[in-house]
Amino acid sequence: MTRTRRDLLVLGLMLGLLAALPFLGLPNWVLTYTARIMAFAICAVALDLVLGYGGMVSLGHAAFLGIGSYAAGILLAENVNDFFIGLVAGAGAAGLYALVTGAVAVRTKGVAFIMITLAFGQMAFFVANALSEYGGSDGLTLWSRAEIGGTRALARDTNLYFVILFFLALSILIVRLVTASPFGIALRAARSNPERVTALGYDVERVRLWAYVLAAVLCGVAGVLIANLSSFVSPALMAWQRSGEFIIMVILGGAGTVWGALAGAFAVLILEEALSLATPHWKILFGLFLILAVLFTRGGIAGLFDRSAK
Amino acid sequence: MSLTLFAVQTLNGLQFGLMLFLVAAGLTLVFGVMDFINLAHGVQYMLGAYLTAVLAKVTGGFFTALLLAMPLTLLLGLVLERLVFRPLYARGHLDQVLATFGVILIVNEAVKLAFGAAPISVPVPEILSGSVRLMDGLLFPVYRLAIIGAGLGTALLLWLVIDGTRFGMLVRAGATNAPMVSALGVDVRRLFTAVTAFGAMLAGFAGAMVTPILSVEPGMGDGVLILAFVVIVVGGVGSIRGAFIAALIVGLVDTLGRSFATDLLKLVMSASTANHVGPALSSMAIYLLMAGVLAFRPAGLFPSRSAG
Amino acid sequence: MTAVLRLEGLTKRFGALVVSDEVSLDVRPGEIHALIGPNGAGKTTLIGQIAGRIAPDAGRVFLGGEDVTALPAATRARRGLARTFQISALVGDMTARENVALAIRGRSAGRLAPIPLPGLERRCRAEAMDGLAEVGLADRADVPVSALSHGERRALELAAALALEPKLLLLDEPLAGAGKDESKALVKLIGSLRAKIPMLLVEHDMDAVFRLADRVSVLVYGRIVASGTPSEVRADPLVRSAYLGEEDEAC
Ligand SMILES: Nc1ncnc2c1ncn2[C@@H]1O[C@H](COP(=O)(O)OP(=O)(O)OP(=O)(O)O)[C@@H](O)[C@H]1O
Ligand SMILES: [Mg+2]
Repeated sequence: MTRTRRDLLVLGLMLGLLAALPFLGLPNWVLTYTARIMAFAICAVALDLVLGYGGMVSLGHAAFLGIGSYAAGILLAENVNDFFIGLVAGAGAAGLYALVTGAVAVRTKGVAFIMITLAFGQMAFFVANALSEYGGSDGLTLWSRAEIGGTRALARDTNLYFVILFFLALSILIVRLVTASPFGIALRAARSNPERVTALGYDVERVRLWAYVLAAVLCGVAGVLIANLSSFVSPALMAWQRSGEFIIMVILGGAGTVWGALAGAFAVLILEEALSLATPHWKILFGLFLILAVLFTRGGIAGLFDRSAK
Repeated sequence: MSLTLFAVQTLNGLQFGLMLFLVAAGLTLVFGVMDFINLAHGVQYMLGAYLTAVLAKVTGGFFTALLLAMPLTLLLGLVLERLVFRPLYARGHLDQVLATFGVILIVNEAVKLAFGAAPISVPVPEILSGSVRLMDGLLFPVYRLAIIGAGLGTALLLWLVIDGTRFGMLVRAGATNAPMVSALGVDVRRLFTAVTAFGAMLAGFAGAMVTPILSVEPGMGDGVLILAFVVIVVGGVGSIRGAFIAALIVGLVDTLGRSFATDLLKLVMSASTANHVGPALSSMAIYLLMAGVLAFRPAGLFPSRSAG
Repeated sequence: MTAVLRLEGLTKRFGALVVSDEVSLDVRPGEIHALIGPNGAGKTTLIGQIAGRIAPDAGRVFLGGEDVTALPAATRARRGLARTFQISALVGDMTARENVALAIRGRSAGRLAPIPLPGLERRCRAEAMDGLAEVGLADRADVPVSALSHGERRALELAAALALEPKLLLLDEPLAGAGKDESKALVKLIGSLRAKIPMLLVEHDMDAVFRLADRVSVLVYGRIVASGTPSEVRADPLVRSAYLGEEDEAC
């Protein structure tokens, strides 16, 4: 089990580094930018549960992020300022949407699953666009962050940074625990042989559905955090390209290793930022990178599955 | 809600549905025959539109542009198949998603680089301009009628090819049982290439046809791609007949939903609530339709594979 | 005495092909009922319908007197219906022990703990080791399935099925791919389980079938053409011509 130990060591190191960051006297934008990456990393960690461990290629996870942030944003716009109410609402709304749409999606497999998750993600996107009271396609600007126990503690960027870091660590802990549980082992086993797992008495669709819902709840939490961090929510948060981006994070980081998703989130977002500094047409370079990575890494990027399995 | 408006919107829905069919047809075959998920199919639609728009500017004639654009989209389809898709057939869906996502990023940005981010508009060709009176008080643009005609014609042609030629027979067999086709000694690689390129041209044709009525802009294929997915999932992956029927349903539900949802809601709720709920609900309509169909038929309306 | 398994007029068509043609049979407590028939006769499809993987077009499946025709496969498994697959279907990236442990947890898969339970895990491990020992795989416990031999996989299939503590075992060609010695050991093991677990056995190895079976049914083109004790079936002229003909001459 040296492998697990090494994984834990890397993970601890990364989280420790993130916890130390606010004390290094860096400019404020570094802090808020890192906080933003951490919030997206929560989504990547959550998607890792579905994609890396569950083998479900979901192309609609940005919707859960968006639903979470809209729940938080709408509550703030309606003067419901308590952070925890927002958190529960965001997580709950995302989870509920996943439960309903997932119930349909998990009954299908292969390309149909990919297309359906993408379509349901797009549905959330269009609904957000149609919410004319809440900014429609322009998005909704929030005039203040949520309050904790009636205080404006989150108004300080450093405090919010630590709150986000806390939820990131919590998400990683949850995903680790779940994947090591009887539930998680069944989920992993169903990835490679659903028929066998069914014959052993497991309701594979149900196992997959709950993994899908749990991941959505975590994405919903991330959405609440993003809404508070940027004081702005917009449909762009749930554009389908972002769902693609989450997949890239998980795969580049190494699916099924938990810290991999965290590393992947940082790698992808920093790479994008760096490329965009180099040229406004950075997406060409990023796309090329993606294609070449898929075509020329041995066994494709998904070959990482084999390396990371166990 | 007047009858004429209903008639006009029904025709518009029909036209929209037929365009969706052209995009979905190639895509569903690619899924059915190769079990290959091609996110970049929407890009072909966009390229068809751009090629037509640009060539129309250069040559000054819409039909010349259309005629030149079609072999070019076919060629681009071949190039993409050769360079990117072919090595991916044997890979998992995840690799296919990632690589074709990369293609979208590149082509969308390249188009922006080449032609700018601003939408390009294409004038309606002279002989198809104007409107005709279909019935009392119902004027309908000739060009849209032409699109409906072209769409129906292409669908018919497609049906003849799929139903009546050896190529079509192989494609149908491939969609039900791909290993069997290769067991027949058919060069599956060439079949795959043909299906992909052919599908690319169909999508390109759809893109070309809509240039006079929609703005041509980067990323215009993405939304269409996702609608085509809805069509395919509802119709049953790999089924041309399913795609045709589902495309018409989706086109009609979407178009009619957008124009009448608010009015219908006003019958059961206050006007101001309806004004808020209507647009949101109508943008959900086709996805709710999809969910409803899949809840009862997880494999779509016309499942093309016999096994469970 | 009620049968452990009873099929009533089970019918399944794939297009025009009738794969199960009003199949009725039963498996009684304490017996091994063998189902033989040429390739493509519909044996695997029948097993699939009993296990709940394939829905029959008509007919019923009774498990211990209870109609389970409408129950999903997973529920049937938890009710005590275990199966092995014709082509070994194990979780390839898990070890032998993990595969058996998965089956053990499968018994209570109706409610799965979402967090690790160390106590449960320890008991599960120990029980899995016992199960592996029973099929002679004790020293291969930590080997991933992908590194096991064909015969070892067959044994592991059996261990996983047994770990479900089944009331009835469906064996789809449990000897396929196993070597001579491995086959012998498997036959011995299956025979020793008879008293505890009744079985429906699909097998092409006639030696094994006639050694193990209490009753034999012959399936040809989806229809049961003969059924009886091994000696009755062996003597049946219809069976000899339809199926056993060449084999008997060869012996
Ligand atoms: N999903 C399916 N769709 C169409 N035909 C099928 C399907 N599954 C099986 N068949 C056909 O049904 C028939 C019976 O197959 P089955 O696998 O049940 O036979 P079997 O008796 O187990 O044969 P074997 O001894 O080779 O294992 C075969 O002709 C097979 O081709
Ligand atoms: Mg068989």
